[in-house]
Amino acid sequence: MLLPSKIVADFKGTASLPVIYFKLNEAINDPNTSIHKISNVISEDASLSARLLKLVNSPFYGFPQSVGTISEAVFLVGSQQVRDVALATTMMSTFNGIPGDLMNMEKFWMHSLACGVGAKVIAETIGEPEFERFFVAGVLHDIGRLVLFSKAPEESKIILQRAQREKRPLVDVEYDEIGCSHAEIGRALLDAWKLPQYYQEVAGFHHAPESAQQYPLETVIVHVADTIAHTLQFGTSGELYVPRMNKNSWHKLNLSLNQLSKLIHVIEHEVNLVLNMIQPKEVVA
Amino acid sequence: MALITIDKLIAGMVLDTEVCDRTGRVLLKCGCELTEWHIGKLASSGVVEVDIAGIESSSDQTDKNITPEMMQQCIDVLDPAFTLVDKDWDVMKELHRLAVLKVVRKKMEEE
Repeated sequence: MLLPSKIVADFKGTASLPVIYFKLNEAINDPNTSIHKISNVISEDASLSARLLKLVNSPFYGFPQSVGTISEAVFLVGSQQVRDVALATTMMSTFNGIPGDLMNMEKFWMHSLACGVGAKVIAETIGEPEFERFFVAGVLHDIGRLVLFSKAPEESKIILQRAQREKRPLVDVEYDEIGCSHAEIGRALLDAWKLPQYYQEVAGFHHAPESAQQYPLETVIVHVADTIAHTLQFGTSGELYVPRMNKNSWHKLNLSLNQLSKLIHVIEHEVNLVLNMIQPKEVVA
Repeated sequence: MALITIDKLIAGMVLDTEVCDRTGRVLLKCGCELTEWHIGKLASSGVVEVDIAGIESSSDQTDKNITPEMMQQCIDVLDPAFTLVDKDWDVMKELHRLAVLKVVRKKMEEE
């Protein structure tokens, strides 16, 4: 049996959060901070600056005027949101070296981004405030699977093969083979990286939304977005089967079937937008 | 009616439903005949798509050419992925239908 905290402790030695995230965090938490200081930190990373400007000028944010500078972007999006976007877009470079026969990383990030976009669109549709934060929660939901692929590739191979042979969800086979799930590992990693509790809980319970205590609605939204991403085959997380959607979770959102159809149309459109902006091919070595 | 992206709008098209911005504020009412000014305003307000009256979307046109055989082929390809879900539940039925349509449309575009 593997313990999530043990796997994560091993993993932390070889991979850490992107440096830019810490620098941004420091700048944001500095009591004497200013938009100018935060913008300077972002401007140090040309690739992040370019992605951020592309993102804020897209219909994903829908600002009425064109945003030309990083300081304008910080002013309009908010420093914390900018930090979250930096986190989501730079996370991809943190997980290099996962063998291609284990996971096609381009498809993995497509699934993660689709879940992020789906969560954001659902949150926006049901009138949740600050719906952009759901994007990052969705992008990070399966991060534990990447830790597993990195630290336990042989076990991961066995899990993937057994799930296919026995026609079972990966999460169930993970418990049988290693005694914990990618969801628990993801939660432990986000905790070790000291990311907000909100992201930890969503990652930890996205397969069991009714167990979420502090952020139940956020977890429900990502759970539904994850199922939609699997159903519409936006990339893959390694899972061969569409996961079961919790019926109570769906009912909590109070969405009609007509709205679901419209939602999926918007998700497809926005996923393609975000994919074009983030360009996984460029960042996944 | 068709859902048309902003970049494909042409002056003279007529809105089939009202258009709101992300805060819920009505920008244009149903029945409004679009001018170049309206289109610029919609784009600068972050609107992605609008419903236009009297035309068919490209997906509607594609859907007319879908044969039952094509549908069945795509269902056969997709169905193994739906092994674990409750396909009698309305929500899953709808998701399955949309997933099949996506695969069929993609196949037709490729052909």
